[in-house]
Amino acid sequence: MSEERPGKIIIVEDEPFQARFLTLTLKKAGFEIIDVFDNGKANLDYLKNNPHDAELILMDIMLKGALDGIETAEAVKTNHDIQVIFLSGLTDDDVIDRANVSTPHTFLFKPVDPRQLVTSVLMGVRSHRLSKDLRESRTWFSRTLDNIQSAIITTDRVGNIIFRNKKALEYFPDFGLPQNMVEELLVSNREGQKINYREVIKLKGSLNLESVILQLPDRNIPVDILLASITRNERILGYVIDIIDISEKKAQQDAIQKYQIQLQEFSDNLRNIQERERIKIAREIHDELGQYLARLKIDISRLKLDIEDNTRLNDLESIADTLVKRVRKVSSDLRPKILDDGTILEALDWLSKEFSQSLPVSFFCTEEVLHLPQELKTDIFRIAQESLSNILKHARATLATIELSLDDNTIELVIRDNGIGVKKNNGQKKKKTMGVMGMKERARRWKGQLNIVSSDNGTTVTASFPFQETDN
Amino acid sequence: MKTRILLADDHAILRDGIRGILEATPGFEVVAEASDGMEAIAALEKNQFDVAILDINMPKLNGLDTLKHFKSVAPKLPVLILSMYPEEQYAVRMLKAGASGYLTKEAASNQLIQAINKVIIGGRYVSPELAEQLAFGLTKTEADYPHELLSDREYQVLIMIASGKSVSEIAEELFVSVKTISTYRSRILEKMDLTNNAQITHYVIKNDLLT
Repeated sequence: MSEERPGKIIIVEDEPFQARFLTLTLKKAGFEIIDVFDNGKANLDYLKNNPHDAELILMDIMLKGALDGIETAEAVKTNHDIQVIFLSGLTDDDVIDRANVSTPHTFLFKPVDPRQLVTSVLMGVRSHRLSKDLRESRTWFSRTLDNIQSAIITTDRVGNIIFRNKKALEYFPDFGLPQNMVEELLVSNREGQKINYREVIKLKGSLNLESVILQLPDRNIPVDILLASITRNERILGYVIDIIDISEKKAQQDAIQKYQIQLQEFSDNLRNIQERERIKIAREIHDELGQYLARLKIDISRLKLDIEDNTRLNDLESIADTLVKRVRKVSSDLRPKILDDGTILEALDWLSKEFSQSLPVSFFCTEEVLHLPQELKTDIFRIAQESLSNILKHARATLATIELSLDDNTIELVIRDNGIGVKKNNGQKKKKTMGVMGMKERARRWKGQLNIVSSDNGTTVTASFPFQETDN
Repeated sequence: MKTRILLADDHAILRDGIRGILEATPGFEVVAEASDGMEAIAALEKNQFDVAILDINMPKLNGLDTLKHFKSVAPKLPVLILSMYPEEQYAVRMLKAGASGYLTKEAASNQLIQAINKVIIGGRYVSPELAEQLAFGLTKTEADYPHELLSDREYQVLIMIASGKSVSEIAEELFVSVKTISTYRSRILEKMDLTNNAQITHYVIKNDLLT
């Protein structure tokens, strides 16, 4: 008893001699005697005003007054969490049976042996404290779990529900058949097929189901479900099911996706506008400026016929010539005319020849004719152009190829070079990434893909576009 | 008798310049001018011409479509295409569509008269630089030898197959996928009406194409 708090005892005994014996014996053993009552009602009145004081009551069964010991003990059990030890001089089995209903800690028969008294009271106090701790920690856990946003359900090893937190009760207010509960929860999983969760958990210890639609009586909600086994000494005692409502997360994801789509539409639009502007400016420069320059040249040439010393006119004529070529180059850089009038094959062939002035570029195509929508044609062309520009700027290649093929309703564009590969962190990374992003965007808007594989032996850009060839 | 000319170009400034050249040349007469394809067609209905000069890029009806119409209505009338675009992009297309000549506008001052003189007697005119390249391209459809049906790239692959290289070796050497070379090989076989590599090698050696 030395390390423990002294047990707090109430004695209810109407024989003064006996009461005194009990008091002295227990005090001597270190217990604290809160009070001694000679009738049940006084005891109950005291407990009403001081509900948390006593830990154990020594209760004489044969009490005078309105309530005997057994009736008093029943009242105590109903309203309080206090252990009762009955004291009895009777050995009548009927009385003992009646007393047992109030689940006393034990019986002591008069005359009471002091050592047995002390030991029984000590055990009673300990038992009281243990069950009190257990109840408190249970309350503590369930309060904690009630305040968690997810629904927590624990079951025994065959699936009977042992515990549900507040959220779980809210989801399943009248859960009828606990036996197949987990199966019930999982009927509506993504593939629509049941999972033998026990097997999975046995293997992995836990099972995580993401984005499952949970069917509640009044609504469906998207949830993540975590199933885990509760094991002790490698024996499965039961399962804990954690159901997390992800509606909010989903809503956020949906919102992000919505913005992403808006952003893509915006970028597509911007690209279309840019291309249209390019066409307009290219035509403007080419058709308007070019005509004037051509006229200028014609007139200079005719002047040459009239004037004998035409050295300076020759200079003027070559300036006009250069201007025409520059105008043509500027216009073509903006938007090559072949892209409007020719097929993608002609356009890529032209592109490879253009680049071949700086780097040998061969164009291969497995199709002999390929008619594409104007915008798709533009995007494929621009990807090839951007790739070749990158090769020219960064790759130090001596050779590049463009391949275009149509297979299984997929157009594949491959641009290879034998250069030094894409170097990471070369200072130009950000700029280059923007170019690659633009290329990826062009592929993405046709539900296509663009991949870049790079090594020391060169870089391969592969863009694929789903495409259904029409008859016309 | 003067050479009667129809001149169609939507840019008045350039049209004036061209007319200047033509009028300064004895024997040439600009009978009608048009500023778009429809006007050119209307002019063709009203007058007889010895040659038509069409701008490739005109409003309402562009040069190519106007050319096609001219060829169906007056197949014998030589048409000379004037263009701001370099020859290599459009000349072949226009010549295939029936044009007798193709001239860039800045070259007009020096070559126009020469070109007209050539086309009105039934000849064809392109710049000397392009002439050689075109000769090959235009005869493609009526080739004397099967290998002339091949594109430059196909011809390259043909020669490599003939020299005993495998499809994957060729792919590696040309830096493209095996699939592409396989397709090229089947296309070569189809165009040349051959069935296997041995026949290709035989053909190439027989015609002395390996140099």
